[in-house]
Amino acid sequence: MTFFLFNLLNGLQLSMLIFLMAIGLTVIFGLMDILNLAHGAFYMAGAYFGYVVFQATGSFWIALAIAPLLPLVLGFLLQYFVLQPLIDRGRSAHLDMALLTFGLLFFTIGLIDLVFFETLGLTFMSIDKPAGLGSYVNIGTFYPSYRLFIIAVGLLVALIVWLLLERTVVGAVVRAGVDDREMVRAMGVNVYVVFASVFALGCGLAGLAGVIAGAELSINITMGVQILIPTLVVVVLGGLGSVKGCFFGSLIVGMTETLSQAYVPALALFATYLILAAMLVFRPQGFFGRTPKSV
Amino acid sequence: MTLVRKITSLFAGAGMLVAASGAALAQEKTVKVGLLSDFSGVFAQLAKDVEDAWMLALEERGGMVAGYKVEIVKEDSENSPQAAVQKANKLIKSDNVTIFGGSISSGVGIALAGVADKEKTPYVAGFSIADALTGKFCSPYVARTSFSANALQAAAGAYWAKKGVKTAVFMGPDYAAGQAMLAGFKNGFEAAGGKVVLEELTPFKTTKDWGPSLLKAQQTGADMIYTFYAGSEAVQVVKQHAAFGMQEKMPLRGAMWIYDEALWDAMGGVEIGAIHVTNYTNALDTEASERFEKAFEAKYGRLPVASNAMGYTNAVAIFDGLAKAIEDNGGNLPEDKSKIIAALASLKLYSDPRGPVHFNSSNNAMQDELYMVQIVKGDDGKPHHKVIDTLPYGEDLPGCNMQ
Repeated sequence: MTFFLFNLLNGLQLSMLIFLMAIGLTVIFGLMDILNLAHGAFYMAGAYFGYVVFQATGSFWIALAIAPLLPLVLGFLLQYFVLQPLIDRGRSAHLDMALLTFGLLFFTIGLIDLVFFETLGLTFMSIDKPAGLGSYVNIGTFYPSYRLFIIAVGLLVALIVWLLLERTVVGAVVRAGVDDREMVRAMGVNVYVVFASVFALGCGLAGLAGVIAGAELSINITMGVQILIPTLVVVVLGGLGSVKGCFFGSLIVGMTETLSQAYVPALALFATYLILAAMLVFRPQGFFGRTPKSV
Repeated sequence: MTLVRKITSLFAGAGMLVAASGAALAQEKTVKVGLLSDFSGVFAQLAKDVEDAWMLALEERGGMVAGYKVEIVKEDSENSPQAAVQKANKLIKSDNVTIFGGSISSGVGIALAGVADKEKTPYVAGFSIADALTGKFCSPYVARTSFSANALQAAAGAYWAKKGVKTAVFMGPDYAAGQAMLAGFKNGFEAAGGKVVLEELTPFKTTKDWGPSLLKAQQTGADMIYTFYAGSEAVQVVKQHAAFGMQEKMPLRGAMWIYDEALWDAMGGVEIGAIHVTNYTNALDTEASERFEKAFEAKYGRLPVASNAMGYTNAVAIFDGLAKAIEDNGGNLPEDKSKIIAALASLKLYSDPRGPVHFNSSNNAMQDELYMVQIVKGDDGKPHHKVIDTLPYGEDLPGCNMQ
């Protein structure tokens, strides 16, 4: 019984880590119709910059507070000065955007490789967990306190994002933008700034996930591509642009990966994809997505 | 300094030209050697380590073997058998290399053994520890200077069983190398009276959390976890094992990859106290290892690690094997290139930094003994290796039928 409970905790922990990544991706996709494959690059930017800040200050908390600002600013600049002008010029097909952002992901990986591996000789890095979270708590069995921290951060971010989108004017504009972009523009909202801000926020959250993962997993060159795939699965499962869908999608992916690994290892490799395939066949718009009005 | 050297060589060159005028120009004989390794991808660091060791070995020989000037042609096999085959064919057919070596990945190694056998061009694996490389795929054109998975892991398994460890959980990635390591460990451990109670193979490259596997291991109540992971997976397993408070009750052991020096920074201190088997450590104090350590540190300003030592054996075997083959053939490269591998396999590398190394009948390197090391905190506050025991070398799996 305790074995099952601890597996649920593990599943929740993984779900929250994936959620921090997926929430930005799904809102960006829902609002701007951009499949931002560079999301993995912003995750890496957060982790590597977090490492640099941690090395300079020795504090996990300062790294956690400062590092997400880099992907946040970069995200704003990318959307406002690169993606938006391209969209205005008619280059807004899914394939155009996917190719461009995919290219950006590999450019970032190459750049990081050049700086950290080729120049500084660093291959694997890590951010030390803060005092108090580096150990384990005894709750029937030893359980890592940092995992409880990840769960708490995930739930908190989910709550804040939900409140922001559902209970504030900003959220109303964003939701309206998802539904009908032209109408929002007609009502005098500077959608470009709204778009870029939402884009930036999503990238900042990816950076936050990067710092958090940088302490639990390890910071290395393949991290961005690795996290991208489950994130895309979550976006499809949950439905584009839906915070609620993203939350439940993350839970499904995290729990499936954890429980299959614990109970049916033979399924671990493809259990998630099985669910994804079933979803695409029976409910292609995702759990909480709406049927697209036009294609 | 370099300018002076340039000018001197310019004069020397001019002098030679004058001396040679009227007579046939004495041509400098060169031999091309391919360094084909996984310079990009997850093994990039290991490939770089091997290259550094090659350059040291070449420098120590003045860039010459038996009167031939050595020219190194470097190519990247990208940790991909397909790319490796393409690059090997390029090295053989357009660069005309006499011999090539240095590979890291086992998949790449097996692909290269096929090319070497078909093109009758010698290939000397630097790592590529799959048992089959010098088993099923052995060839008179193929040799290996590292070791086979079974030789290392069976030795470690037998060691722990003899130390009184009765039950163990094996954890590793679910692909060829992980399975080979598991089989090797199990062979040695169970033959000596131990029992592997759980074989936990995790999906390679896609596992994001080792929590479920560690919890399962806890449930078995085994005496230890024996593991094979490398790179970022190794960092995560070691950190999470510590985070679950398992270091006291169920220590995590393995070979050099899981606690590789390159990962210590990322492990952030939880590696202290861990014990693992290795075939080289810079904590060895034999005359040969001290000499290598000094020479390496003088050239690169840092201490050598196991992958440097393995790269060094690789290069020394290739250069000295070439030299022996040339000398045996009256100062010229032999037509039949399998003679180079035969010469290489007859070498007795008494002063290898790993300890005396020789080759068995399937051209695979054997060394006298292995080392059990513990990671300890040195006086400088940094982690170091400490040799706590030696153990006899294991055996290769049978399966080589060389025609």
